[in-house]
Amino acid sequence: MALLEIKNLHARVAETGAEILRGIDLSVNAGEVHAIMGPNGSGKSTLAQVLAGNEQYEVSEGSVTYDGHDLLELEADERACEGVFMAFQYPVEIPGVSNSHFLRSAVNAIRRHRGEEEIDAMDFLALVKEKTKILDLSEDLMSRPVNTGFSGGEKKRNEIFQMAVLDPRLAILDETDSGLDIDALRAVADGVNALRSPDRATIVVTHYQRLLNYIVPDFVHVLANGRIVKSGGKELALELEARGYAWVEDELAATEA
Amino acid sequence: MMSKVPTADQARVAARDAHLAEIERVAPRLAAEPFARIAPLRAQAIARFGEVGMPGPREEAWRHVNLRPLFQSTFAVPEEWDEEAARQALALFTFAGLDATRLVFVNGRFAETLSTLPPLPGGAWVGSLRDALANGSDEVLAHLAHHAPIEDTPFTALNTAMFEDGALIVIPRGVVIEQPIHVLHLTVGPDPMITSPRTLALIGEGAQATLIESFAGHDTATHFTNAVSEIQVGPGAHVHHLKLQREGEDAFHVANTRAHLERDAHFASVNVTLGSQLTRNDMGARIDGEGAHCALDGLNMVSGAQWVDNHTLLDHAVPHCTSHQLYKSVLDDRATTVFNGRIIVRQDAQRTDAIQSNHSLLLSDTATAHTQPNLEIFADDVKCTHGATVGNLEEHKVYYLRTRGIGEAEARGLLTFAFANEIIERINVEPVREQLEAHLFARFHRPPESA
Repeated sequence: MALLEIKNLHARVAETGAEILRGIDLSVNAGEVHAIMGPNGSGKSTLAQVLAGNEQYEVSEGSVTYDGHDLLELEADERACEGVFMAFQYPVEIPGVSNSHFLRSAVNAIRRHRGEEEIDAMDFLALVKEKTKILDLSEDLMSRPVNTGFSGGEKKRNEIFQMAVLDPRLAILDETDSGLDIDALRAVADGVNALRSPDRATIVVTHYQRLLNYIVPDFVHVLANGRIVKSGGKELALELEARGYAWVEDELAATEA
Repeated sequence: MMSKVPTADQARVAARDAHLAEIERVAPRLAAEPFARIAPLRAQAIARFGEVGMPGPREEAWRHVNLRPLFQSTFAVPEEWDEEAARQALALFTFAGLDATRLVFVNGRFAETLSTLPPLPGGAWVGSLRDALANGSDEVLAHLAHHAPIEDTPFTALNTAMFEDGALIVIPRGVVIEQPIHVLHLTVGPDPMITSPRTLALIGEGAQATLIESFAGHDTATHFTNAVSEIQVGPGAHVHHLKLQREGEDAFHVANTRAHLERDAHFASVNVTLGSQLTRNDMGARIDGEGAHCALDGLNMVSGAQWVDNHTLLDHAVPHCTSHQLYKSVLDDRATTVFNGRIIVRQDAQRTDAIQSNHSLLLSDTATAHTQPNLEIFADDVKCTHGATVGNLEEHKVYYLRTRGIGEAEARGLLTFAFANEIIERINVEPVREQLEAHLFARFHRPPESA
């Protein structure tokens, strides 16, 4: 059975009622990397937020099954404890709390959820040291307030670093590449690649094909107007790069006509 | 409408008269030999206080603070104090691991036996103001009541009329004092009493020091602390200042802190209010030399019916200076905070860069935070900004933490901790910062019990 099974998912903005997702079907197995591409406003980020448990959106129809359970039943923190992780497009700054304190609180929340002992200070330090190496981050990052005064690249790398420490089974990267120069992009991609594993499924949401040169997906899906309109292998990303999204949208219009 | 004298005014007058009577009662003590040279200042202060009396709500600077409870109590100048009680209380208000020069005052009087006065380098001197006055220091006389003149506030006049001792800190030119200087004012004893803590710090050219002023009381008597501190920061001198108020829950605390900055001076102050039922802080700096920088930060953590009124004043008199202010409050229950941030940029003070922010976090529906920026700008080439927020935790931050597995209650606690800790982080003395962080942590960030 797939790790993540999305069926006919419809979702709207809770406040306005505007429908964004209009029937998504997607199946993701452990070990796979899926890229979700699409033009602005197609619903890519909404899909990521709905999976993470953002209460600004409400699901009006359809189902999401994660590891055999109804994901939509769970609160955002319960999903995280069950192994769902989303790297934010705009990571949130939290002055006044260090990265280290923040992350240790998260690790312990997840451990408590699993009925495990809290991590002791030495083990936590060792864990952090190991993971900062993977992402080539300096350890002083841990004592700095969460995302505060970080450059755009540092913020995104910090997201991937958190992912490395929390070790999710389903990782969702929401436009992690946006706003990054090529060096920062490579650093982020290297981190994600280092974390690829047969046990982990990854969904990479992106507007640009560029990221997929570095994180090579197993599948590419094109989202338009709240639905997946085309799926294929990694070559689909290259085709999109060459021909633009208009091509897919035109094709869709032709079939629907 | 104006024909009837409100009882509030009667209470004010009665409170003034009670203080004047108390001054009269202890007049021989206040006129004791060490104070001979400040006798004229005392006389002026008494006259001033008698003339202006206690402030009332019709005065702009006192409009948002209800002093009524203060007027309704009578306070005596304390006599003896119990050393054992003081020693026990002291243990609660010192900092583990802090290696500091420590001046302890109990009920307004210097407690030499409780103080720690290691030898200081370069002719630096820390000790009792009373002793220094007895020895007749001209430098002290030149600065005392100069930076916080008796006209500042009625309470400043009252303190100047009544103080019996104080802390004197003299750091000569070029001398760097690595260890913090901790001035601890402790109030012990069951009876309502008034104490008048006084601090004078003279930091010479290029000198450097960290000054901690803490005010503490461990019992529930209605003490009234009326403090005045003056800090002279010489050219190129660097001063870190912490004012930490942890008085008993029924105490009244009024303080006027005034810094004077000369050319290229740096003065960074963190003003933390945790205790007392009613607090009024006047925290001000006059920037009098080009290239100087002043940071005034503050944190109030209040609950119950606590009331904290902070008035800051940044007076930019010369060009090319910067000032940053960040005041924050965390309010629970029916607590009230007032922030009045006044910035004066005088006509000559071109290219001033002044930033002021005030943020309040309300943890209950019945807490109230007032914020009043007050910018008076007479120069035309300046950068002055102010911003204020009053409200609840930002939901997008709560969500961010929750997506990392942290439950809602813990996420809110952690964010409340973070909100307050942004100020505590600015304290440059590690053992103090750690103790206050631990206090914040225990108060706000309580992770659920381990499974």
